[in-house]
Amino acid sequence: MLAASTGAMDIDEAAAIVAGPRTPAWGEAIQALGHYVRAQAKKARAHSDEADDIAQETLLKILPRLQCGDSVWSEGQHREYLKACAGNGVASLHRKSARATSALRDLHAQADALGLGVVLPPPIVDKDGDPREQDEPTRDLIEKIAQFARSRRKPRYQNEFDQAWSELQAIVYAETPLNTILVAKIGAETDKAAYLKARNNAYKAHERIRAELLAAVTALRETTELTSAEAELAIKALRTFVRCQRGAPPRVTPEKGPA
Amino acid sequence: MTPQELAQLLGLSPDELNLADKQALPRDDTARGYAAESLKHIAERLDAEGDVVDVLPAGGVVQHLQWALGTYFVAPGNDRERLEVVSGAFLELGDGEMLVSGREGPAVLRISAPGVPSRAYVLQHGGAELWSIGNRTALALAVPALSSFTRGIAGSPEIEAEFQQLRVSDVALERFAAAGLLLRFWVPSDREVRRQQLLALALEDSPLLVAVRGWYSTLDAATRAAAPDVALAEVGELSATLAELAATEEDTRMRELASRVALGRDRLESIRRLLIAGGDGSVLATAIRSLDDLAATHLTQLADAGVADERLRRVLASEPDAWWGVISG
Repeated sequence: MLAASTGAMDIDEAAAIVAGPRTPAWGEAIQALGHYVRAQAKKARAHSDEADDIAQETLLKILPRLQCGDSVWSEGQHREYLKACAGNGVASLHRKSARATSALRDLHAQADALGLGVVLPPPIVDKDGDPREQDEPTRDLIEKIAQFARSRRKPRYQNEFDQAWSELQAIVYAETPLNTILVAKIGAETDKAAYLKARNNAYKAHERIRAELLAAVTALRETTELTSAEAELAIKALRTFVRCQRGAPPRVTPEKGPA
Repeated sequence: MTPQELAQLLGLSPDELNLADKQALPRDDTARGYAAESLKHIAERLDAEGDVVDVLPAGGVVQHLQWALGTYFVAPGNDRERLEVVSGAFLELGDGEMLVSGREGPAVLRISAPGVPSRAYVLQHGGAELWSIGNRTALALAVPALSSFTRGIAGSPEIEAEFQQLRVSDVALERFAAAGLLLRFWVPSDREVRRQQLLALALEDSPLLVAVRGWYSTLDAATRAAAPDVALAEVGELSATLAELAATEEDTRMRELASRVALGRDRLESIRRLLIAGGDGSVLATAIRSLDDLAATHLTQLADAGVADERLRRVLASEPDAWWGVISG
């Protein structure tokens, strides 16, 4: 990707080097980071050239940030960060390929109509390697924060917390769309008004619990039960504690007329 | 109205005002005697009467009611615009719409939106004037051509096209964001050029970063000081939009608001990156952190809104911690 590498430098060492002032070791550190991103892209099933491109582009975007002193990744999170960049980069390439294939299929249809033969490439399948999977220590950290936040609620409101927390976990860890959770809760045979009411209630409950989780991080940091690094990691994780639910339209029955 | 009179009403200095346009509104002989009626009475007849004339279209909606001589219907041109009657009688109609009277003397209406130069209308019997309120930032901020930053090296066409749009935008916020956009997403298209730039990082800062820093350092102090101002105004606007999102149940509106917040945050990130490159990064840190914390409490709704935009999806590949990218899937 860059040049022949000895492969000697560890990724953790490389991340520490590029996060500091420029030294003679920078060149080797860049190589090591490049090889790591490339390997992650390959794991996400990028072709060699694609993996090279992703590694180069990722580093050309990230390293200048580090040079400016911008905070890129939380302490110890460089592996997850670079892995996410690689996986997302592969997903992005495949989205573009899928669009190109779709355009090609349109051309094919037109050519077909004109009686011309066109050979199409095989359809692109999603090879996304789940780049945003949360690592176990971060998950444990979030769970610790959630239990602390729960303990701050009066007992009579803890059931509500448990309900909302289990929903959030299902959304994030099991990739369950919110509408699936709601349909399971209120039944598939419901009218639109009831569905919207349940959805709005979920939004509000999640808003409350998310605010409580953020407040819990602050409280735990103040009591030194979380280190600054842990608190920073937790905040970053909570700011993306979601899975996109696009493409999962609600399954509701038509509105019922007056009885 | 003289610049001095208007400046006094607006609390500005006269040299900040420029008469952009004016329009005569001659008496309509078909007017039916509403000249002396109350605004309330005129409002009751709004839907029934006709004969309205668009006045100096420049953002916002300003219409002269020809049938009610010297009376104007005004409304925001979009959700971001705010109307303020600085002088003169007016009647609020709801949803930001108003009737403004220029019958007893000139009424002054200010239209403002985050990151956009404000405008003032002077509305009176017989005519209207449109004044631009000197946003010296917008006037002074000239963003150089792409090649000044990229040294003529070819990069991603989508990013370059977006940069070209932003650099000549009328919106100061977007002009500031232009160079930040390059810092975030522009890389050379050619693999060998990328390889060389990457190897050179071991010895020197990236050519793009050097070019952006160089340009930023040439900005005068007032322009540099304006960058965080327009960004902070946008932070306030996006916080308000998040509050509106939380109160919205209708799907289409929810998607609009979520999209506006996410794209707005993306623009802010470009400005933040410009400021960091220029050594002024700390001024926005607290405000942006608060905005991100607020957004974090609405993530379920933001993700559920179904925002789909390529400008947000591209964020994931180099900024995977950015919530506005994550919600776009």
